[in-house]
Amino acid sequence: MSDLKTLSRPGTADQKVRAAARSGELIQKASVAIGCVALFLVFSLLTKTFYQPSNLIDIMLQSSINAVIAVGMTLVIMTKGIDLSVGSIVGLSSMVAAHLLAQGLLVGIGAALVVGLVCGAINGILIAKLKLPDFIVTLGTLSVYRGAALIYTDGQPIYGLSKEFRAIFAGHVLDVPTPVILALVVAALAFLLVRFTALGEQIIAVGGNEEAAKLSGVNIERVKITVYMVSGILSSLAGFVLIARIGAAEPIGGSGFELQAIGSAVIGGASLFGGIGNPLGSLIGALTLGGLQNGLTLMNIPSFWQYVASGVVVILAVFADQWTRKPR
Amino acid sequence: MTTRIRDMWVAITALALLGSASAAFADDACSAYPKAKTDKIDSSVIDKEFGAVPAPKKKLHIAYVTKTLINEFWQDVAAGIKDEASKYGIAADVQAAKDENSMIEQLNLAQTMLSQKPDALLLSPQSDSNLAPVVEAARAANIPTIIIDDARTDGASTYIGTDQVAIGAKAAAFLHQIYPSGGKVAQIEGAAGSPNARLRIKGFKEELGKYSNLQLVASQPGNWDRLTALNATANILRATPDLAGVYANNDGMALGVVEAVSSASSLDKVAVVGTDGIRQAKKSVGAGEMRATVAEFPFEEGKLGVQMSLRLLGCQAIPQWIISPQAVITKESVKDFPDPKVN
Repeated sequence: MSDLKTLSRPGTADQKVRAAARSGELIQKASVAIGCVALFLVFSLLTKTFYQPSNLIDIMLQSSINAVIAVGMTLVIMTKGIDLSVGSIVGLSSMVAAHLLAQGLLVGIGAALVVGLVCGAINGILIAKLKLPDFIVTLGTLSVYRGAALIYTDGQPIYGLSKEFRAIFAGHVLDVPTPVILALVVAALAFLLVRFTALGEQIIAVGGNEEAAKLSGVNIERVKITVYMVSGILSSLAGFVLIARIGAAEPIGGSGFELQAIGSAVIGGASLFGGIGNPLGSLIGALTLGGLQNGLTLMNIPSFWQYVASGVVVILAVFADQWTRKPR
Repeated sequence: MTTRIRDMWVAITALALLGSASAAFADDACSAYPKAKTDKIDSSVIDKEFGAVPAPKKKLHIAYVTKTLINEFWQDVAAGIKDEASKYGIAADVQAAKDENSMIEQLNLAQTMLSQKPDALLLSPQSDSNLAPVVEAARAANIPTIIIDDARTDGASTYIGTDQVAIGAKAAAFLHQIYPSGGKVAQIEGAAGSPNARLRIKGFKEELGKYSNLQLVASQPGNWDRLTALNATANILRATPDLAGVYANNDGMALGVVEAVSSASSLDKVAVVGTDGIRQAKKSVGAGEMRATVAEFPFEEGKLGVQMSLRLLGCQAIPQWIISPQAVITKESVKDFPDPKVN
């Protein structure tokens, strides 16, 4: 279905849109950062606590799990895909990690990363090889992986993670929380991947125009499977931070994370129509959502309203995105 | 030039740190984490033991981070806190996660609340460990942490909650009281792994063991869920048509049990007993559907939370566990337990 749509879309109009997108990219990139800074300034004026260094570090820490997942989500979205199963992969791989940490630090971490990789590969193979719609596949695996996490320990949480594990994934290096460093490194690596590698070019090509990419010799299937695997493994990494911070693994952990990750990617300038996205933008997107929640809490806005606000910000970001991309 | 600027920054940072440190400790003459003589105390005798609640010496600001406000129980705790706080002119901020599974969201909220340096931090954690980092940080800043109900957290100033084993035991004793000549009974259990479920099951089974004529024919998971409880009860009734009573670990499930019993058998023949004392359950008890509920008093627990904050700030060495009240509510006594007002 979607392939047909791509084919029938007039090439010239498509090219025009993409050309406009390129020219608008600078404005767009700036608007992501400006939006985030403006939000932070507003909260700094409204509360006494927001701008304090310790609170800013807290915001980075609180955004880090989402940021790591959002970076993987960005790559998937750039191929015109979507991964709704990330939260369930967080849950499943963190259960495996917590369980196997007893066998050794590297066993637990390694096994959980493999779980993330395999979950992502399953998504990718179903989407790329069997040509099933990404939305339905990952909606299905969202349920499958969550079920697997519940089956794994019969619904029981796992308490008592090793000190060294918690020190690695929820510790500090020179007063900087390690999850923050992890998120920065992940986003930077993904940025380099998109900007300077052949795979990065191929991701943009597949998302921009799959038919054209195929004609120019890009292995579409391989690119798609790869981005879902990256999304899976980053979800595992995010799961490590989650369980290290709360000191326990719960089979239900990570539920709802997909929405935040998609929101961050979109705020960060990723286009759900494919071909456009920036891992560093998604990092800023995650910070924006994190800062929003933090600021609203400091202002003592009731939690029910905070959900409304988060949703409005995501929609505003899409609106701003559309507006800056409009061919003029 | 650059060194001078750097020195200036160092000086400013140092001053800021000093300022915040002295602000945290200036009026704290004592530890907010005292060592008490006993490890627990019943809330009904705390006045006798420690005297009246000390009035605040200045305008205080406390923060409460709870599980979720889509659950009546936690709404009542929050209402109790606000009610008691307003009595003492204390400003009370309340924040909640979106559901009882959002552990990391709750941790983030609690950290943000703590960054405002409240005079006391009241918490109802999602699990035994998810708010541990916040309790640790509060302890370092000598800000008292009061845990209200369910999951405990090591290292907090005190814990307010009722005796869950006694709740299960009271349910069994009630079944014995209405069926002195015995009968077949069943239990619908709360979510596996939840401390409240574990302790209520334990209390119910232990007490039931004392009455040899009361036979536990089934104890099935209800997962704190009304529909799951309904289905489980329907299955039990099919296997045991002469069932005499069902104890559900909470009222939501008990209301599901009521549905199952009224469609498969009769509420006259099967006595349904719940736990918590939520409004709908009390209505059901009053209408003669549910036979009883072993009630906790979340509104009272909220009030106790504010009182314990004041006691801790007033340097009273209160114990680690404040046992909050519980009572069996029946059709006869339901009028004695009016619903708390929540605005």
